[in-house]
Amino acid sequence: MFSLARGISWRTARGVQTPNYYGSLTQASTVHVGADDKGQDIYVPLCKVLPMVNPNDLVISGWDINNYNLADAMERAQVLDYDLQRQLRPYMVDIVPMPSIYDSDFVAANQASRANHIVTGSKREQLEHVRADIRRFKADNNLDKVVILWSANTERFAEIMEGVNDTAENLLAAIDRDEPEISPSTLFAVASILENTIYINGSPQNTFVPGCVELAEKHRVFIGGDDFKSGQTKVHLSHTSL
Amino acid sequence: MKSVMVDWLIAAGIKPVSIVSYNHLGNNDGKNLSAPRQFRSKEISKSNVVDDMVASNGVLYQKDEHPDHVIVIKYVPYVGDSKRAMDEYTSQIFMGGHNTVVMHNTCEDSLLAAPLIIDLIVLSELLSRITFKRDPEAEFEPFHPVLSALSYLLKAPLVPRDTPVVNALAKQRACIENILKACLGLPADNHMLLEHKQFRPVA
Repeated sequence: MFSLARGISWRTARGVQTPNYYGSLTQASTVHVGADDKGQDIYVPLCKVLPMVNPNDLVISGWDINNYNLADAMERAQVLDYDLQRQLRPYMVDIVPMPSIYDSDFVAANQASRANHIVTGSKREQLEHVRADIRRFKADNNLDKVVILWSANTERFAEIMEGVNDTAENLLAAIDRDEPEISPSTLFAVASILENTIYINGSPQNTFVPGCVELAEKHRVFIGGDDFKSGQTKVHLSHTSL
Repeated sequence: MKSVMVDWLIAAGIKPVSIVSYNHLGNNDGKNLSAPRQFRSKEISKSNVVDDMVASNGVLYQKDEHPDHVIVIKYVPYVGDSKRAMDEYTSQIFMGGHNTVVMHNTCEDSLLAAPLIIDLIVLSELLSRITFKRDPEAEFEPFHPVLSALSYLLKAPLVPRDTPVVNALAKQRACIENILKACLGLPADNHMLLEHKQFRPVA
């Protein structure tokens, strides 16, 4: 998105490459809207059918349990071509994700070596920390809407337990007494709902335990899930200016 | 891919009986999924993706009959973000015959995921601004907080309690497309094209 917004092109063995949004339903697909007077079909880009946010206008932030800046994380990921990485580095090197919530009981033991950028404290303190992050991001960038997406590690499934995560009220009470069966992703979802922020779960785990869904219904905050194909250890926090 | 292949086979009157998927990848997602409890989450999410399509065809499948469905994911550091998927679909065809389709897919995992992330943000923001009513007398209302209209972008779609899960990709896409068109007052495509099917005698 940095390259699209700034018109960066790069060279590979195949010549000059330009950025695109291939693979995006909203940015790269079309919708059949009708036919002209000769019976020829008319297709319109999906993003032009209704007024939608242009992704180039998004302000992006996020949390990560690892303290790499985005330029180093890009290098570690080994995905983008070197000539593109080289040009993107200056825009990304100063951006370090906010510390995130880490619970070794929910992710694989092999993630411990990455976990060096962590929000400590009780579950209630962690929840309030994330809520403050959301409010600060919104205020600092003068935003009117925020969308939060979990694209972090897949967690194990949380057990659905009576009195713990079965209702909205029990879930909030369980957070207050630091109940171990509440996952980091559910804490993020609860923080998001309480901040009236859309929350999408891109991993397969059951973040949306019954109490969490009930909380979203109660506050009439939109949630979506579960599981897109992503390997990035980040929770993306994003915003739209309308 | 499964939601396309299986939808197509079952809609063609062919009966998938075994779906086996071997995947390996070497990014941090693969590393995390190499632990059994995290893999189990992925397995549950992937295992239900053909249920609605199987249930849609009572000619091919008895009640509670399902194809065998096995998923393997292995962590192979060297391949990095370049995820490999080998999927095999075995189906029963006419008169006891069998058809087997094998697919090999190689793709950068992150470059598949990033456009989906953008779509989820853009579409969920759009859906949050739409209100509608089914009864002309009623007040306009926003969507249910559980945004099932995002199903196209998600492997295990979350839906409001007691409502059906749709996994078939074509239906999921039509859902988004038709919601957008309805906002413009355009009808959903029915693909009949009757105007092109009338006999017009040569003048």
